[in-house]
Amino acid sequence: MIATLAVLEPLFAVVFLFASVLAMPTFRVKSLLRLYACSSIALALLIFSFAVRDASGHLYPLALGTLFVKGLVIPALLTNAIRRSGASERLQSSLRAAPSLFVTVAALLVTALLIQHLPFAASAASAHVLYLSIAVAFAGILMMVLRRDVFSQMVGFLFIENGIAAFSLATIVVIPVAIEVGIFSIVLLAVSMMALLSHKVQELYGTSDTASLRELTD
Amino acid sequence: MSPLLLTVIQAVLVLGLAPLTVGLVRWFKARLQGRQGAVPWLPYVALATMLRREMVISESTSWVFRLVPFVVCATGVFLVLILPLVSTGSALSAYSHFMLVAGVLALGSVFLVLGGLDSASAFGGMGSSREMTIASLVEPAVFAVFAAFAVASGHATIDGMVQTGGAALLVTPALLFSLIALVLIALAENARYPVDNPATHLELTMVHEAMVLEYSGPYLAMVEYASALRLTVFLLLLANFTVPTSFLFHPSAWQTGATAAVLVGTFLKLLLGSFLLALLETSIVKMRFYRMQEYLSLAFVIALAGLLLTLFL
Amino acid sequence: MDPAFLSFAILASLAGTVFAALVALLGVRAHHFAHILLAFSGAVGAVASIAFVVQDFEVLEIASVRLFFGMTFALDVFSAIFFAIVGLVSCLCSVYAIAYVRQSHEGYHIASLNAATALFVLGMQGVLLSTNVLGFMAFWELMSITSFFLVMADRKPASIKAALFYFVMTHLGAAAILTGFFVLAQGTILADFRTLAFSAQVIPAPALALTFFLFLFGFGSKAGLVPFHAWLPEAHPQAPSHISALMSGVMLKVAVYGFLRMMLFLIPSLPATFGLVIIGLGLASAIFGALYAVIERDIKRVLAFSSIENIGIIFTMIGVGAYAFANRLPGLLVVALLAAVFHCVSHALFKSGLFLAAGAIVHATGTRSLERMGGLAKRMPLLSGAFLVLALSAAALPPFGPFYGEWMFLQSLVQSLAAPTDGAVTGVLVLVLFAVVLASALAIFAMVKLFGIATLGAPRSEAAEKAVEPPASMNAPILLLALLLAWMGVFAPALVSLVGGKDLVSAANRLPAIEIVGIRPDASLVVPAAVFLGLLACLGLVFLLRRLLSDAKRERSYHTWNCGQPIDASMEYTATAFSAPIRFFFRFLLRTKNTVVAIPVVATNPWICRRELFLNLRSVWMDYGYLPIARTCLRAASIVRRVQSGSVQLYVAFIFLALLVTLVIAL
Repeated sequence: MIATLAVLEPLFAVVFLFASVLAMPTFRVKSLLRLYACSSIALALLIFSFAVRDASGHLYPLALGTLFVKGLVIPALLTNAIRRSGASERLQSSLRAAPSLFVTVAALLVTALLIQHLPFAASAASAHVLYLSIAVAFAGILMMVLRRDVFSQMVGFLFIENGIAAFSLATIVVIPVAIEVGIFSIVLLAVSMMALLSHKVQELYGTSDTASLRELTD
Repeated sequence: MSPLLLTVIQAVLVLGLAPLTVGLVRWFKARLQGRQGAVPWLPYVALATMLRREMVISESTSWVFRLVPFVVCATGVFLVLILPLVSTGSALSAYSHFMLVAGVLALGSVFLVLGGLDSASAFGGMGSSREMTIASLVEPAVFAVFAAFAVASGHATIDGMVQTGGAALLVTPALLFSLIALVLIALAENARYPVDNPATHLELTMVHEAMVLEYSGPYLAMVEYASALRLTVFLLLLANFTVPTSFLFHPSAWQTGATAAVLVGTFLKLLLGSFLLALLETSIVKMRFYRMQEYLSLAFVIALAGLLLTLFL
Repeated sequence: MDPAFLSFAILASLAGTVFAALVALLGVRAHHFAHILLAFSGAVGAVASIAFVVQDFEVLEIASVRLFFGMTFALDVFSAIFFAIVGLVSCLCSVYAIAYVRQSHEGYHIASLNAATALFVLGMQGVLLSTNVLGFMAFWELMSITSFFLVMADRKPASIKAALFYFVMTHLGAAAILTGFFVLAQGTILADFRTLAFSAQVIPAPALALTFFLFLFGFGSKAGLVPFHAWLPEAHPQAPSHISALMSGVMLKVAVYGFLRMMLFLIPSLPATFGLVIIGLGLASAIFGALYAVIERDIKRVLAFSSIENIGIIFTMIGVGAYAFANRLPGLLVVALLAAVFHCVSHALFKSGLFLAAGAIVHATGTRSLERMGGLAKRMPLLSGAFLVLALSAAALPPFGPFYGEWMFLQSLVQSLAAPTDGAVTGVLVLVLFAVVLASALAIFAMVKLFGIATLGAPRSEAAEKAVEPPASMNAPILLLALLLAWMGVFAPALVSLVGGKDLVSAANRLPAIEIVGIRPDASLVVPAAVFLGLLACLGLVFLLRRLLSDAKRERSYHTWNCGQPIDASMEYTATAFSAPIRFFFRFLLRTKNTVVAIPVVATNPWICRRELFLNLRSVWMDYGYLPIARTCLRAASIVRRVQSGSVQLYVAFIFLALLVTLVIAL
């Protein structure tokens, strides 16, 4: 089991990264959420294989929490919210699909170049996971910057969250269970608040495009 | 077995089975859509009928129009002779260098495009313009895929790449990306969903079909046969990259058991490939032409990922 | 053959060129004789230099002019290859010009045109034979000035404007080259190349960098490297077609020769970043050249941009060589330089052929716009056949020669990827690989568009309908060039060994030979002749089968299927339409502007309008580069103009100020 997991570990890592890269040119909400779920499940499996390999018991609840909260609950929450708010399935972006894909690839390459200059690069437990975390966080930031509508902002934030979780996997040795529970509940709360707010935005403006949110109204 | 005999066997087999592949795809697609479907060997009858018909040649065309079917068919036959489809190590296998293969594919596409332009109609021009765009922009992805295989296997010929085929996938799993990209490229090169609809009769949705609207009789038979050859070649090549090479003829192996395995294996590969293609075509929709940029960029990025992961992992 | 005999032949070729110039000045009646003389001298020069290369001599001294600061003219392997190109192409262009200049309605002053052509060829030959700075710059200036007059040969306002633009750019370039020589030779312009080679090893790094950038600008602007290229698409189309062929096919190669010669001195001491600079500019030229070749509608502008693209690929190859050497991959240096020279040879052949064919087509249809051509394949079968071969070679498709040049380069890139090197180097090589492949793919598109819209389909104008096959003396050079490219496709390995990687590199005489590691050399098993014959054999097989399986005589002629509506040639796809998808997909790079002006026919009804579409294809380099620079220069000049106010008091004050400053500096 350890051997198969060790072989599959690169697969999980690559799926984790690739799902976030492929999320950039995706302009349909359901596909975006599916990719996010895929990425979270891959992260959960990665944490699980780390736990089995290093025999560190504290990673099991983290893996389970990631799988459950980020892989299942949050996508379900968001899908539900979108369906109820009646928002358009088609997302807006300031950059078309193909250029945003190339921009993301360029960002990944820049990250690869910069990773050697980071001060904590040498002390990280796994250099690959460090790269993954920064790359996924970068992709999340790009999504928040390049896309114009509310749901993309949310999903971008969630990708940043995934990246930070991977970063903690690479650098922190032990995370107490209480802190893990805290992080997950914060994420859940944030997502439900964002879902509620997007519902309000949709009600008030009829569109989920943030260009309509730029000015103050009376 | 002498390599020359292998080339001849491969040529006879593939040249003979090509229309059957097209027929199988159509039959599977019909069955999956709940229709009865024509028999899988109908394309043979269709080709035979077309060969006997009288040709109608437009007055606006020139010698280029007449040259096109011959060149397109000849490039197809050339590919069948050099690529490792049914056997590896055949006489011309050293010529399956991936740049030569890409160049010959491009040559065939270029001549088809010229044939579409020579017909002096708006549909031909439209089909030619679209086909040329797709053929040009798919080139970087083709190079990325085969560069990854070349770096992983240490051979620049497709023959060499296939010989380290099925096993290499486990050694360098990054090649899975290159295979996915190859599938996307194959769909683009063969005018299949989501790039083009080979069964449409609406000219504004045509890419490949629009270029061959003016051809009739034997010329049309040649062009249709050439596209069937291309499809067969791509299906067999994809299959050979995924399964071990024991399903291919080899100069050193000559037992009746092995021969039967190869023949049955080839037929199974075509069957499975046609089924998967029909399944794919039934489950996805054709993309707008102006979204081709996204499709081709995606194919390139996946192929690039395969190459970079092979190089750096 | 005896070296003395060869040197005499080269001298005879030079003398023949001078004599042709003198004869041409005699007037219109000497037109035939002058061109035959020029063709003959070109042929002699080409044959002599090819004999020199085949026989593998080291250096051939041609002449030593001791009275003029001691200039020597010598030929070595490297310059012999380019000399052969000059000779061959000038021979064929002269033969072409005999009928072309006579026939064209452009109103050339024939005597001065022919004389200037001969002097132009003389300038190029002189540059290739020079071994010292003075001779090099003298002949370089001769080449530039005569080509300036040649561009404005038809004396139309557009030609004069283009010629002046070219003149400014070429003299800025010449100034840069002269300064570069000055810096490299550490203060003298009477140095010869051997001195330069030695001093390149000893000068300090800042001087080396300065020299490098001066040479890059000087030779790059003459060769048409982005962003110094803007004169090329203006000047090349305005010149007469045989001059365009000479300029695009040969003059650009002479600029590449100059750059390569200097690089062979500088490469051993250059750090890797300079190689990256060359690669960057080369790739930008390749991609932008290919993109603009795709979207242009003027037949000669398409070819001019295609030249820019090919020069970009050549400079990329040179840059990869420099970068590879600095990163300890000498095998890649050898192959890259070899591929660059091979591409120079093949580009000279196909580009001059394409320009000559374009000239014949422009003459037959009376227009340069692709949107008014069409149907020429039916009316000019021989020319269109040669045009097809040339277009396929320009697209670097098998089985023609240029394909093998690109193969050599891309194959060596893939092999170097497999060799264990630094991550950054691998990244650069991957980038180069895909950028060159993209540029080649776009070049295929451009050439297919060029050939397809110009020659296929129904004629889009009356002039195209009445086109006839050009005379044999115009067709023969084009057919010969097409045959040469097919020959190159069959005998590519022989040509590669003739061009000779080891000899080229040993001209810098310091680089060791090393095998290329990584992938098994499967490429050496491919015999290009077999590919050619294989494709022909498949063609024959298909032909035979068709004859066997169907009745070849059953055919009927009818008009194109039209859904029952009357169609005419205006419904065919135009060049603008054909390239629309690429314009759409690359619009973030191209920034083409579409303006639709809608004017209501009747003032009271806004729904019925006359609409006009304006498509602005002006290059981004013009809009965001040259025009802002020009505007800033003009603004600065108008500020400085206030000095010349006309008041005597101010001038006296200035003289006093100048005197004061001189005294301060001197004391």
